[in-house]
Amino acid sequence: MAENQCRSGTKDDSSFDVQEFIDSHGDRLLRSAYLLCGDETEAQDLVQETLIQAIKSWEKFRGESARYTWLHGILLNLCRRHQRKQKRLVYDEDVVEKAAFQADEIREMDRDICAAKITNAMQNLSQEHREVIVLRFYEGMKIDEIARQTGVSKGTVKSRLHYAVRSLEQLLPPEMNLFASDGTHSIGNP
Amino acid sequence: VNCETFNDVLPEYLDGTLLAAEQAAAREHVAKCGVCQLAVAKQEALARTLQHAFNREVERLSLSAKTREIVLDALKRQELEPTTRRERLLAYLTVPWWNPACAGFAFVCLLMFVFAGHFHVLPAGRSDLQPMARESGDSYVVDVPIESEMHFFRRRNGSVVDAVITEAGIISANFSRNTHPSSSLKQRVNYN
Repeated sequence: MAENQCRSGTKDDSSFDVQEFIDSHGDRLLRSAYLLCGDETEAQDLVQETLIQAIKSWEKFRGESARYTWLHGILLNLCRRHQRKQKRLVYDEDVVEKAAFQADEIREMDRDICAAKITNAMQNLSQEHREVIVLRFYEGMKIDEIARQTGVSKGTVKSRLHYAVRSLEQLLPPEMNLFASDGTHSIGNP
Repeated sequence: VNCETFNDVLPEYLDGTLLAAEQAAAREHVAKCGVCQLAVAKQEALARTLQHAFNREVERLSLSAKTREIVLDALKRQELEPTTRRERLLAYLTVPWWNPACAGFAFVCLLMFVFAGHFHVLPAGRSDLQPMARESGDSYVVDVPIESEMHFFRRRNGSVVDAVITEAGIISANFSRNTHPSSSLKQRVNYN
């Protein structure tokens, strides 16, 4: 265990167990990466790159935020870089995704498919909109935390959140009501 | 607080990050306003729906053993690398002398040092370009040789032929004694 400790020189402790961090937060980071990029293999690569970058720049961690938040910031930057490379591909898929929603099909949706539809629709949002949705509704961050994490003002975060939800609604079929008290028609608490 | 101002602070109200007085005023408004109650309910439902969908979609995912292995390998390599300035300096100083890059660089430096002077005096070394001094009183004139090259490019049979014409020229430098007592300069040089 001791061999997996990172020399850090951080403010809160002198060493950090990477193995323990991966065990406790690795999966969460991966899931967030998956929601941001929409592909499991890419998400694995992004998390791997995130952790390696974190190990290399461990001395830069100033202890002003939680380690997970710091790592998530690195992940966001890597996702943005990745998305810039993939932009063309994403726009091409846009057409396919919209065509995939057929009204008859919706009625047969079960919860898993509905969840998948929402996650797939997320991939058609812009990078900024996807980021705020994931940070807000998956990571459960508050507005000011999202503002810090993404480096924009609180007003911008609220505006992006508003338009992101609106875009998501437009990308989903009308039968799926994101604002229904029990979730969508197909998704909800049993 | 009216509906418009409440809408502006709705996310912060749900986060509970408003100032205590603002939070209380917003709560009081919601208690009385049906429209804002609906807005709050919609936002809470949206959060539930998306959270539920995301969790359902990603719960099957976990970090692969390969990814873990690669990260821990990177960590081990990082542990072996010097981190402090002193360690980096020591690592630099212990670079083996036969390291090809270092040895090559040192050899080139040595060559430059040895031959720099030779290259510098080469044009003047020609017998027909030796400087000539002509003394007259307190001053004397030195003819300084210079060489120049002219390249003529000519296209012949689809290929470019380069003809180099070397010319030797002479400039005169006039040296005279400095008669000004306060100056430390002993000689004044005039280039013609």
